[in-house]
Amino acid sequence: MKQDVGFMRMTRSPAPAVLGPLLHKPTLMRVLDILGPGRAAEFLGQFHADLDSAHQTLRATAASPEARQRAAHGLIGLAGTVGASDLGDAARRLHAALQSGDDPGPKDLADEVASLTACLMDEVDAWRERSGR
Amino acid sequence: MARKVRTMSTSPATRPARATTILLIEDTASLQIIYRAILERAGHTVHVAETAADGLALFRDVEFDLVVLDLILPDRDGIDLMQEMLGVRPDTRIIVITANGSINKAVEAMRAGATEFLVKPFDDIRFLDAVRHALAPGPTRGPRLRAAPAQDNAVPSLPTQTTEATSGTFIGSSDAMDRIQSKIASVATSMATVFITGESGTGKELCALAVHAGSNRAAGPFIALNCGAIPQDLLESEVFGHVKGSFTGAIADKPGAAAAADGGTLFLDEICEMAPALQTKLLRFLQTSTVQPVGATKPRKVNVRIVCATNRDPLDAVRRGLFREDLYYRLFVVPIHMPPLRERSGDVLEIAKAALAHFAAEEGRAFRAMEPEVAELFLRLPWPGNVRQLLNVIRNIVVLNDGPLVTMDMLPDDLVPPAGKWAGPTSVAGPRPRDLTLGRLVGKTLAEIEREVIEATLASCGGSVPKAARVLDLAPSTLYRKMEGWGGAQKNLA
Repeated sequence: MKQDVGFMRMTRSPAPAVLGPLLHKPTLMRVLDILGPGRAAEFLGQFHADLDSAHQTLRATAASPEARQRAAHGLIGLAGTVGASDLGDAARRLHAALQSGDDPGPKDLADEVASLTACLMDEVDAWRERSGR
Repeated sequence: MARKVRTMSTSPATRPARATTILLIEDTASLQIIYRAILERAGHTVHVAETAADGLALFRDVEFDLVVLDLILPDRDGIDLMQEMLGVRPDTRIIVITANGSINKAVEAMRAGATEFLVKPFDDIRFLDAVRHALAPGPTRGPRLRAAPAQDNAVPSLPTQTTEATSGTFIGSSDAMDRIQSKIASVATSMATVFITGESGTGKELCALAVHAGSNRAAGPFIALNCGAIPQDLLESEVFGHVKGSFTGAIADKPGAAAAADGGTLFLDEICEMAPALQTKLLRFLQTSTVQPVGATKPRKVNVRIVCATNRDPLDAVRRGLFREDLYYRLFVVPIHMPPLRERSGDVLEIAKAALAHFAAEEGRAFRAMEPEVAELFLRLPWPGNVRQLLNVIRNIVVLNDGPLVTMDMLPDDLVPPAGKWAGPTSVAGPRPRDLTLGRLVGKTLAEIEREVIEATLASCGGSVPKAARVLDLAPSTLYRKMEGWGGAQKNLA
């Protein structure tokens, strides 16, 4: 799994083998335009760290349902920020399932959300490398 | 513990007529960075806190014009915090933001005193619109019903105004829009059910709001529910509510959208996506005007006007067995078809000009007009995303450039497809990924047919498993398992 210099190293979930791009580049560009060059780098670093934090929570076997629900809740907003609607939809389904006490049903769903989160981190890394940000 | 608080100054170039001081309480750091930047670009002074405790301490120290509050905080429930803030300063205007966009949560927040309710994710336009609305003169509390553009907001939300060029009304003097306006005026005052059809981005929700606003129940609530965006197993509870203890996780009574719309209008968007079982219950609701929350023993009478919408052909959904015929005839009382922008002749320029003026004022740009070449191109383009696409294009131009004239080189690269690709109006049906006639499939095993269908669907979804899974009504994990079983087949799609 590719690791990026400058970000926290991590053990990631295996990414799904076949997947279209999650990152919607026009949406990301719009966000970076709003932030301006000064804050764009700060945002990208923090965005990656927030994704990683949620990813680790979803992967942690000891994580409580409440912690997973908070992670899913956070991912809905994070995914939407860069137009990653597939991740946002999956996180929303997981959040709803955990909220309604649907247990242990969300295990597959939590794995799917974690995998999509890992993919998005990879895409952000790759995009940063290409764009030199 | 040291407070995690940051304050940034405003840019004089973008300072609003009256600078405001805003407290932003959001625990996700990257979202905090974005929200803060959006507010500061609009000229507001922003103080940021990551926890409820820090936010409350700041709130006690500084008199804020507005609080933007995330409902899910690490140390305390957001509604609880909001109530304490309102206890300290009852006139405070508070925008509640959350990724949990259920009607129940929205109603709870508004009843607790929120001025606005925003569902994540939201873009800068919607965010600043909510801020402006919250800061506008008027009562500080209670539901200022506004509307979430149906667009990307995949969760139900309290309705907010979606406008053609953010003016609150339809813009355009084409014959098609004249007919729509007349029809809305005629039907608004009746109780008849309105069924709105039209492509995405044509303004179906705006039409529904106009019907509500013109009715004698305009003072009542307008509740919008996106039937296609709510997990099917939650939809019944969202529409009809539930009582405490009726199922695992039902920790409190919940009114449901139908009860929340009592005395007003219930807008059911993407109605054709509703599951068959719920269609039966909706039909019963329409016949009896009563709602029976999940787990309740007695039905309750409500007075609700139904407006529904779809971007599909509803009769085709009936023919294909996706939509109940009796429900179709119950709902399809007064149809209103929102025309695509390409059929609204000169409206595209009227909308573009209004949007240009609005966004230029908002962004502090000097745009005044468009070059004739740009106007001619706008008239020729098919606008498959309709008004929503046009507004996005104008917004893009204004943000990335400065005026006074919009020139050809300012247009987004992807606006004009290669020559010959859009000679005529675009089909909304989309290309067929592969020839899947029945005759060709005869003689193949069921497993082979299944694989062929899955591969074709994946190809049509650009290789996205989650999207293909949605089309096939499968869990993505199921799709992954099937693909693993095929071995090397995935390589062909990567």
